[in-house]
Amino acid sequence: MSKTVGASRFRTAKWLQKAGYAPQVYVFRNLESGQVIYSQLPHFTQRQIDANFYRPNWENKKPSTRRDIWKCMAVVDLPDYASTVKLYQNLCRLRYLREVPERSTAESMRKRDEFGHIWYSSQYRPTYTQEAVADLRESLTKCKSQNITIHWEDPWRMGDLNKHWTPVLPSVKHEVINRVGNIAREESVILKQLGERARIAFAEASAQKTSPKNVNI
Amino acid sequence: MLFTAKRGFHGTVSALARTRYTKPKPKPEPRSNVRRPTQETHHDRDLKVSAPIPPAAGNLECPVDHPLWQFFSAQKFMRKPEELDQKSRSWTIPELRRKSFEDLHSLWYTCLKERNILARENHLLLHSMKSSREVYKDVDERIRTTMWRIRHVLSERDWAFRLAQQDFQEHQAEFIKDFEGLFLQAEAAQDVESFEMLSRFQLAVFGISEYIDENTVDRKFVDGLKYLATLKLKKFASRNDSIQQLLTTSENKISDAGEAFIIFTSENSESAVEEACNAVKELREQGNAVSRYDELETVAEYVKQLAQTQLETETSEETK
Repeated sequence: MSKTVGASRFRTAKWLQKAGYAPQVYVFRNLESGQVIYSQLPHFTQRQIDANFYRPNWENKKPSTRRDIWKCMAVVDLPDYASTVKLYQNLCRLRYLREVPERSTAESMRKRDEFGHIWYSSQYRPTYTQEAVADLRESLTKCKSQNITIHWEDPWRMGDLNKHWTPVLPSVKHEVINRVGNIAREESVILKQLGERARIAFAEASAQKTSPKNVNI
Repeated sequence: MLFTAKRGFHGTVSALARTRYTKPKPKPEPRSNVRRPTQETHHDRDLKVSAPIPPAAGNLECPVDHPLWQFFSAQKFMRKPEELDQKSRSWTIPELRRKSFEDLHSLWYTCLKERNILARENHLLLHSMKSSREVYKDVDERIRTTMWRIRHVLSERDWAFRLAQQDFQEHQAEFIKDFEGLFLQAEAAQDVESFEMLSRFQLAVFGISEYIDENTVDRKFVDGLKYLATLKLKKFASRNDSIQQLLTTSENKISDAGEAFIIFTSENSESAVEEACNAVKELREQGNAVSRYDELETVAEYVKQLAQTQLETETSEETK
């Protein structure tokens, strides 16, 4: 059986549309370590982990693909497929910047404990999730399109709305995925439903664009 | 001169051969059917690494009726020591003895909730604030006293009940005889009161509830059923010849569980009991008798069927 299915390689805008996926970008977080991966599809493989961890070390180990310790943190709805690909590329690029060329800048902004290590509790380092939120905001500012919605798993994690989001991105809509029933078993169903809704919205928007305008004679 | 031309070496020709254009090669014509690249987007070049965005508790809304609020007093993180009721005292045992079971039950849970709140506050004080004073401990101790006293009072009642039951075993036959006299002597005008009395009696002596589905069928239940059926027949025998006749033919005692069940479940009126008597006579003519060995199973089956039909009629009435 071919292993080149789904999320196991980079997907172009055309492929995403043809394969029936919604114009969305998915952010998954590791419940154990707080690390984050980005995905073009509502699931992930080893490829997403490889693409998001350039310089693993003892503080930022490459996480495993264990499905029980990954949870969808946010789903970003965008108006078209090209911009989802662009957003995904920007997110991955920002991760590369943080880990390789601008590592010292990124390290200087991380909270430290008294020994100078990244602050942690057991295996959990909250800074990675917080950086992902900052990266998401930064890459959405580069998005030209309006009409962007972020579905958050937890409103707590998105940060102060008035301080960090509204001044920079006033047009972005924030929604919260219903917490009741958002468990590991039901996650794929929730993502599927979100995707289905986004796909219908996309189809309606593109139908409105292509349909001829009513002309009064 | 024979050879005017300059003669070269044998490799000169190939060395001087023209192997490439001396003029630049003309460009091919632009193609019309060029396929666009599948991937056109690229990441931006002006991306900046920004500071992490910390999570904000202000985004969370906690409903007022959240169940975990039960561990907080008036939704406060912690009460101050002066906010506690320092002059309070535990409930005394004589006070608790005057309360009903429901009161004690609710008081128990009130105490339990309050102790949970106090334990939470005390834990915070000891571990998070590293305090050595246990201000919440005294109040907690008073509530604990109330709680063991509630248990004590309930245990007193339980023992009183058990002893009374033991005592009753000795006087049961006498009591039943007294009741029978009282019940049969009552006039027809007092039927309603006397049958209410009977239902209390059957619950107290045989443990037979008037709600048929609440009962468990055992030996005591079946014996009670027979006794009550006989009693019912005796009650109406003086007013109706057909009932009297049945009573005399069965030697003043209903000893068949099936017959007893029919008479017991009939309404408390003369006509209903007469109807039940006719049914019993029909049963006897057909020779339908319940063996003493199958009594429990058969009566259990009857009870189940009756409960089922009652449920069905109730639901059909509700739908109407």
